Amino acid sequence: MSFAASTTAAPQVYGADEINGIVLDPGTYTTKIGFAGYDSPSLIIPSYYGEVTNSAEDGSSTNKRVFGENSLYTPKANLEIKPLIKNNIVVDWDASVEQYQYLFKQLSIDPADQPLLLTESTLNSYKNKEQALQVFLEQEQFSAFYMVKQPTCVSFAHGRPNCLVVDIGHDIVTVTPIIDGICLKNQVMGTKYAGAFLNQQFIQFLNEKKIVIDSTYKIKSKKSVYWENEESKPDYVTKQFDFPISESFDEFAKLRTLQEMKETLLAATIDTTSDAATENGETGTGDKSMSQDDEDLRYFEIQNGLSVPFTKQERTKISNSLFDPLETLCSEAIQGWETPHNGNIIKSLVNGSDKTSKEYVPLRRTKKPEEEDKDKMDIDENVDEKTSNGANETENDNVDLPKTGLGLSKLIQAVLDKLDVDLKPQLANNIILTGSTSLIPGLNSRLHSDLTLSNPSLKIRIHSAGNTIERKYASWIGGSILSSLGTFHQLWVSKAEYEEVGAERLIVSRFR
Amino acid sequence: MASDILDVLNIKEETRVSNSQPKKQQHKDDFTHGLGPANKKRKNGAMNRELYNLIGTNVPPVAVEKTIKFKDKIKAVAAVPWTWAPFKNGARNDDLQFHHWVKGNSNDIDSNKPYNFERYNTKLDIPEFNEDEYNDLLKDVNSDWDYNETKYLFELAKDFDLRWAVIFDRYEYQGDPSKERTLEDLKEQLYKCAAKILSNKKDGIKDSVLIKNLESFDKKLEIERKQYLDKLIHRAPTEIAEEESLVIEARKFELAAKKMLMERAQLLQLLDSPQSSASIQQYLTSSGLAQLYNTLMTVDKSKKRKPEAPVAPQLGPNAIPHTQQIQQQQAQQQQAQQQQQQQQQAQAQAQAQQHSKSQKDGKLQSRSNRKQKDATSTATNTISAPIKSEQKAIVDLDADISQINQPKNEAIQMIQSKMTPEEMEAFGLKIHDEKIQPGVYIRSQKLSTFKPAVQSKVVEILNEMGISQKPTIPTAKVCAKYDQLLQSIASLIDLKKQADKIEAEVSLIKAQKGVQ
Repeated sequence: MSFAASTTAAPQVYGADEINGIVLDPGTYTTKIGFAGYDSPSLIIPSYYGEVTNSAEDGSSTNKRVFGENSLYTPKANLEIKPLIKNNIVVDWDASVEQYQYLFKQLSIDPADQPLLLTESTLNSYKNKEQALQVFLEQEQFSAFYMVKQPTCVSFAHGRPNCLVVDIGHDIVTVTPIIDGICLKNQVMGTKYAGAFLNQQFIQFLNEKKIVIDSTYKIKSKKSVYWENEESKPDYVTKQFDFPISESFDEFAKLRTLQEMKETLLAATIDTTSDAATENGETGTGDKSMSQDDEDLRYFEIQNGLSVPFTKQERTKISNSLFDPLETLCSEAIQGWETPHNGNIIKSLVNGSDKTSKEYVPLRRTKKPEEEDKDKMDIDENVDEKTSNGANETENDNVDLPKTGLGLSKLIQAVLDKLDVDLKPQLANNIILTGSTSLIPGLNSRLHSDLTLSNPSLKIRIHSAGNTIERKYASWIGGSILSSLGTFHQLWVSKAEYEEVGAERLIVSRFR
Repeated sequence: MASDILDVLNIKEETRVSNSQPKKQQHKDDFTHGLGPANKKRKNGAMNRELYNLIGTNVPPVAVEKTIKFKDKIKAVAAVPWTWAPFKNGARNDDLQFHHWVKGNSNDIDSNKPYNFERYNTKLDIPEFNEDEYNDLLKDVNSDWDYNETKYLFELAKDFDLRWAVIFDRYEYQGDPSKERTLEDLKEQLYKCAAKILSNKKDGIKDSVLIKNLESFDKKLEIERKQYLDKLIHRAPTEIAEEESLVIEARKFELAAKKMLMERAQLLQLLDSPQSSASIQQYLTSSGLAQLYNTLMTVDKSKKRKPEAPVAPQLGPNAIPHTQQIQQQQAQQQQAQQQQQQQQQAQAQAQAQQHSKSQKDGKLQSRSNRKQKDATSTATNTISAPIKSEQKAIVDLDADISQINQPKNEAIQMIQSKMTPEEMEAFGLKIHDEKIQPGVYIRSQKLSTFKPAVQSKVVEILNEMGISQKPTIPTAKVCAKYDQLLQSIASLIDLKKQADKIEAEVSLIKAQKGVQ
């Protein structure tokens, strides 16, 4: 606080007032929970759950859900790993509630005494909000509850009330303009060229080389082998299990290896076109023997002992695909990303005609409850089949947006272009980069050079926390700051208020 | 410092003035006090002299000082109790109760005290209206709007405290889909309606300035403004560069104009200074001349000190036209010339007088000069010893000579006539043109130093070349050469820095432009 006071002229007030709140930040890849006022989340667990099906002798089967890294990474009979959240939006509420209960138990939280702050995506649907209110206030009996948009939290974590939050997460990249801490949620744009996109590229790249990612759980012992050509095979002994391993478990275990690959191999470069040209020129003759430039070669050892070489060009190409999503390393299109995303995330994830929050119409209601229900069903279906549905939609409308895949800098550019002129210079000067995928080295400078080139008259400044924890969990940290502010305590929705006003009115007036 | 010099000059401690003595005594006292029993006994005479000689003045192996306190004792202040106390927030509509930590006992806490952060719960004062009022007043503001939508707009404005960007973002009124509202539409409707409501307020208190401001909103102008802004933002890089160069150019012009004005002002000041009215009669005597000299000196000094703040001619609405100015200047110049002529005459007369006077005083002066000469020679004698004994520091005598003030020309002339330059060098005599600081100093102290950053680099380079940081035998010649060396090292370092900077810039620009 004293630091802040010395940098700004205005007299600063110590604005914190701890009330022992809980902050819950469910992300696509990890769910974060902790106590308000702390500097980092207390528990970080994958946003996945394991479902163990035990079939009884009489033919009926019981399902048991397990959570936490220990249970999720240990092979077990009949264990299926399923996601709780897709594209930053909760898709499986029953399991989510159970996960929350698991977390509350781990932290021994007393709902009667502690308020809970939940972060949500700006794309969150009306139904999800309603469900959240119902779960936390009615089912879990929290004394008070509040939902904050994740970009707002990020802006709080960085202490910048007016900013452009660029969140590069696992499933989606979103760019959100924020004015005085409030998201301009109808101007949010995003694509799916995020962490999972890079994962898929790694998988396909290795597939082309006939390399299989074997996860740790399979390996009993191994010997180090260097990959030279397609004949090189890893030398390892597999563990034997007397039960079948489900495919979802294997896929989930692979995520860890892929994450490590992303952490160790990726690096974006500023000048892609000229760089690629020179690289081609240099390696044009020795394209087959990649070990020629040993300096730039980096080996990655897969858990089965096979060390795979990655040239600099390959590594940068994968990283740069965030900027040029159609120029990937793989010869085929990236599975799941065949249709280019044009940045209109609201339309591709949420039904375009339906608003994310219900419209507020004073004094008279335009819709009947049955109609609403039908609408919400539509949203649900749409979320489930977003790839196919979204693709059709994007081709139908959006005349103003290019049909090609929108890279990161173009995406930010598109948001900037749509902004009001009065806001543009300020937001361009306060671009906040957050999310785990934004940790790729060189990404920051590439983005800066791209944006500066395309906006010669704007002063572009990109802010990003240097600390990995702060970069990854910015939205949780922001929530922690927010819910320990003295001025925030008037905003909590109490159980009494919920019962009195009702979910619909609350969402319309408070959580739109 | 003083003792160092004494050391250098081989002057014994005994000859020093005794003012350092008491301090030493005191020090000794401390010493004996701390030494413990052996010394005390000797003082008392109880100890054998032989025994004492054996023991000597050795310090006892164990310090018998009283034990050192490693840590200050924390002052015994009673622990302040903190209480996990419930509180209610007056800004809330319900009586939800939270707990927080409060300083003090649970009994002392006043639970009725309003919550500390309630005072931040402020709201904008946005006027309100009902349907009847709307039909009476606001219907005619804009026929495109109806009551419900206006009401919706006002509610939104209230919810988001007139943050227009947010209001526009959240504006989701489901009415006629053909009515696409722009931000300017919303602003216009709200401002116009608010102005109307405020101006028709019944209680009479009207903020006319506010109403005027509200009414002055013009949608067309606003849109035009934004278009201009948009154009400004979408300039091409070449346009921006052109603009920047124009701005720089303009600034150069401004600076040049300013400089010219300043110089002109200085010139005017210079021409202004002499008083023309007084007669020259008072400067005709020697004392009068000295006075004139002194006043001129002080005037000169004061001028030298503040060239930054000249009395610049005012350029404003009541500035004098250029031609007039020139006329004025000419007039002033004429005046000044006259004054100068007068002055020159006065000076010539004064000089003539002085000359005759100096001839008269010739004998007297030469005698006094001789005395001073004697003094300097004794000084050389005392100090020449260390020079001969090849001490590293050489003390400059020049200071003494420069102190011989007014008639020094004669002294110098005499020295020059009696001694060859070689002799002068051998004696370490040197004649200065410039004034140097009085007192004795060491020549190596006078070596030029630089800013700490540069200094460290210079030292580094000296080390690289194997040259010591101070000259080993700092004669005047060596020091001069050494100083020259230092200067050139510094300038080379500076050049290197500039070159590096430019190189880095070039490579940066190349990288940005994508030039390989």
